[in-house]
Amino acid sequence: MVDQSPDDEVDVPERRIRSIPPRVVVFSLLLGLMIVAALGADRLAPYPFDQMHVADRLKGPSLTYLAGTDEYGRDVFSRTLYGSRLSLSLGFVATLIGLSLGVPLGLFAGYVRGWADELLMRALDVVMSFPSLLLVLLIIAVTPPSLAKTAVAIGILFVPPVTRVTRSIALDLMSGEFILAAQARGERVSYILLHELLPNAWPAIVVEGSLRVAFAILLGAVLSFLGFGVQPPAADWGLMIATARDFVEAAPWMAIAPGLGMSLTVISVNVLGDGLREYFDPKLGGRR
Amino acid sequence: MAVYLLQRVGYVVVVMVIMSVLVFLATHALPASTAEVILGQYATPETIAALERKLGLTRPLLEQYSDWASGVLRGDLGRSLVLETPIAPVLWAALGRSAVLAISALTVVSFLGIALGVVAAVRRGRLVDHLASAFTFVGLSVPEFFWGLMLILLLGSYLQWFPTSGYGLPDEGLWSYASHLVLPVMALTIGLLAHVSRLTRSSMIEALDSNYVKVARARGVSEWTVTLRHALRNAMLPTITVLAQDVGFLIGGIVAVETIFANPGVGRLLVFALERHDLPLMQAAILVMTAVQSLANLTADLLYGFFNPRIRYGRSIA
Repeated sequence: MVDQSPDDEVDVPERRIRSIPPRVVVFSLLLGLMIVAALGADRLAPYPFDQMHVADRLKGPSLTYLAGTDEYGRDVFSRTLYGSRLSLSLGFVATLIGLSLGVPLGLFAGYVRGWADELLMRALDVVMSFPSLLLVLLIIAVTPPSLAKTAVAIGILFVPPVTRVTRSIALDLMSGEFILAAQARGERVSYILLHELLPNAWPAIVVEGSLRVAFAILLGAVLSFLGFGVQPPAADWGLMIATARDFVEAAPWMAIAPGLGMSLTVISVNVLGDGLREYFDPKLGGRR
Repeated sequence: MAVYLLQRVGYVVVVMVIMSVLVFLATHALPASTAEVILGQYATPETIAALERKLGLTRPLLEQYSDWASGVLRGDLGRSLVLETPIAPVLWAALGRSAVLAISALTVVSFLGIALGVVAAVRRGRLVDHLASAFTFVGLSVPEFFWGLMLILLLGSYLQWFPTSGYGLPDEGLWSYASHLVLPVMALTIGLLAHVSRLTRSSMIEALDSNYVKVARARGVSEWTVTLRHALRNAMLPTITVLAQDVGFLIGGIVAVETIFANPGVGRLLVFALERHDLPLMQAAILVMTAVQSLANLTADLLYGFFNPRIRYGRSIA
């Protein structure tokens, strides 16, 4: 026989209490640290994000400036800390918008099925045929850029995929006897959606949500890198990297510090999301 | 197959029509009207109104749309407001340069990604697999523009192996042309590579555990043949779909990568149009990029149908 895959074991309850993989622990701690940095940037950052030290322009990393300074002599480390605030709030807000619209739609579509479901899914297919960056650019390019608008645009972009995922879970759950029981009891549709379907769909929604947070942070960074997201002098990772392009030889730290902050944050969110997926459904572990 | 084909083509046509309406409406929702952009600082309410009449912007929206759409169908994409030239030749040249980047990246990703996925699946749980999995997380978590900048730093300015911006003219010789492509293609490749290898790995694992592979092994077929002829052939199906999906990511990635490497492709043209509020150019660039994505989706659907007869009669392709 070939080596037995761990998925072949049947005792599911055992799996629930198995130990959490070390990488999930490490990256969860890292993400926690990032969130602390975002919340406490005012206290933790050695300097205000926009304070210029004109005499110390483009200085390399030192004890005074942990990650060097930029072209205006602003402390890159402090700006990177502040950047986590913008990126994380964008990630969470955009995801919340996507979930708050997509989850009800998906539950509803999975519950009613039939032509309404078909129509909704076809409409979402059309939206999803649009390259995601172009869709967001189209939404935000038509009016002056702002962080709130970027979050809304990315949130709208997330509605179709979130709806799809939720719908497929709802479809699965609909075959369960507890739904039949609720219908037999004469429960209202809203009750079944909120009290029967939603609690059972929750784990998968959390997993999807965590991956969306990572994607939103990346997309937001690309947008501000291109100049259509957060505007200067804000301390935003994408924006900092865009400026760093012109100083890449003289001051590489200007790109490395925000890039590292962004990469570690997104990796943490992704590892955590993947860990959650394996935790909730070991069978899905290797998929996607 | 004919029904399936017609269905898919029809779907693409519908998508394109809806996209064109969306693009048209979105650009008309801009706060600064086209006339204001043209007139710039010389704009007064009177001159704006006069120019709007001259450009036909005061006509009903439906009429404007049908004019624009029929022009697009005839290959006339209008005139750029900033460049003050017809858009079509500029856009096709840019699209060609982007296509070279995209096709090179897709080719590298197809070969390397599948190879990496197969190796990780065969050596499951070993060091190679763990390394591949770590690479997957990093690849999917770091955006192309940061890879681009790191490549510029390391291979461009530190080692000075490759040029870091612009593109080689054909008359400067093949090396100049190719060397300008190396870094952008690498930046585009890393994320997609993670994506493709991850998918190939999981479908290969499934295939290697399947009964037909066990039977082949039991018949004494060599492990090499089992892996490549039996397992990989079946594991390829999801990979084909994901490669087409990746064209969408590639279109997004190419906008950032062309910006950072100053490669004058369609992505950079779009950024240029957005920055200068050049509406016709913006519309044309977005429409063309969407068309490319739709065609990629169509190709994937057709390939999928070709390789998997069951799907031809299915209702939807997830």
